[in-house]
Amino acid sequence: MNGPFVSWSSGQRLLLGVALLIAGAVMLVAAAGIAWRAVQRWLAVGELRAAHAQLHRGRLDEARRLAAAAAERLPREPSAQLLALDPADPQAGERLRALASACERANDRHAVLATLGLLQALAGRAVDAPLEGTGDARLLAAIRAAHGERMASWRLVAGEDPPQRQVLLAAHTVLLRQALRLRSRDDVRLHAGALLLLDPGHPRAALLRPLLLALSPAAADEELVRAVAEAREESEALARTIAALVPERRAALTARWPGLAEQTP
Amino acid sequence: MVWLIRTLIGFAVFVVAVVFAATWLPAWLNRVQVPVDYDDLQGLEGGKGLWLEPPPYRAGDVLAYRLGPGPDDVGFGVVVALPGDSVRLSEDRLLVNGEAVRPWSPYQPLRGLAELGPLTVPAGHWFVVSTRHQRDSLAHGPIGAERVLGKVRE
Repeated sequence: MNGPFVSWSSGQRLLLGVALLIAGAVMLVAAAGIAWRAVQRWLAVGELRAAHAQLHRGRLDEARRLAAAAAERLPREPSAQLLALDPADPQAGERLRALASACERANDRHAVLATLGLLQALAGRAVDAPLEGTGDARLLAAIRAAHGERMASWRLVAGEDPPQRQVLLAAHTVLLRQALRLRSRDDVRLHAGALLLLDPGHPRAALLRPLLLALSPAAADEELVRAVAEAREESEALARTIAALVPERRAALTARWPGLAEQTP
Repeated sequence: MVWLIRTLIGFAVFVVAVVFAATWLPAWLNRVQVPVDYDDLQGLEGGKGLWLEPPPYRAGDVLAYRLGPGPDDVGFGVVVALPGDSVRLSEDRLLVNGEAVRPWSPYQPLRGLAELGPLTVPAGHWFVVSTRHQRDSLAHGPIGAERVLGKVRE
């Protein structure tokens, strides 16, 4: 059993012992490092899940606080960094560029660049994020064009990368506002319907159903009035919007909210 | 010297086995408990434990996903649309890329709306449906990868 060591001198045995001790210590440190990173990742995943849950309840500040804690634990994880990002931060663009160049996976880099492009488009600036030939590029172009008097639109091309959720959400929201401003019923139906499918749990999604009911010929006026009344403190503003968009519903809405008669053009 | 080589080889095999186990076991030992009072997807029994598999997720797979931080905030749904697919609700029927989803039970909260969508399913998201639609994409939107626990092993 101890054959090879019988002929070794005590100095050689001591050397072997010290070498094995050092190797063991190095492996212990490496294992502790891996375990520490695993614990950090586990904690960050929990914080990210809680952040997403808060986001779906509409509590943006709480979601951002939890995501910032997760981002501190995982500085190179794009999902945590993106959720923690404050769009009002003047350094947000630079931080996104640095994050994009640090991303190892192409999908992550694309998500970060799409967010950068979204910040630029919403600020009315030219989009210089390299997104050519993607669905996101078309959506961002539509967002930039949504301030004009002609209804902006886009068409997704088969085989292209699907758009990022945050870009899709922003595009439908901006284009719904434009459709309401231009009183384009088909576009209101398209974007309000897409938003209701994309984020039905959002607190403001409750306002979309009455809007779509008003545009559904089969929906009775009584059903529409009931749905608008469920919007509580926002019901009068919603009724005004609907009355302007669908004049044939105005009489039923005015009967319930008489103030509309003077306010609606 | 043979003893030393044998020991080193044994140690190397041990290290490889530990790394392999640490890499693959969490994915293969992924398990979820169906909430006791669960009745949202026909065929899934409440209180039952299910083994889960990692991606890729395809149409027809049953996904398990988190809807909140609580232990019972888990949903299950059949994948009907993948990232890039077009989803539309028309006359109380769900259409994916123009084809009606079957089997299908109408979604009461959106009844009466003639047309909804189309919506392009975003990158990294799946559109899932269940029988009662209480915990599926019609109630919660497309399910993102960050919420998916895995697909239920058949």
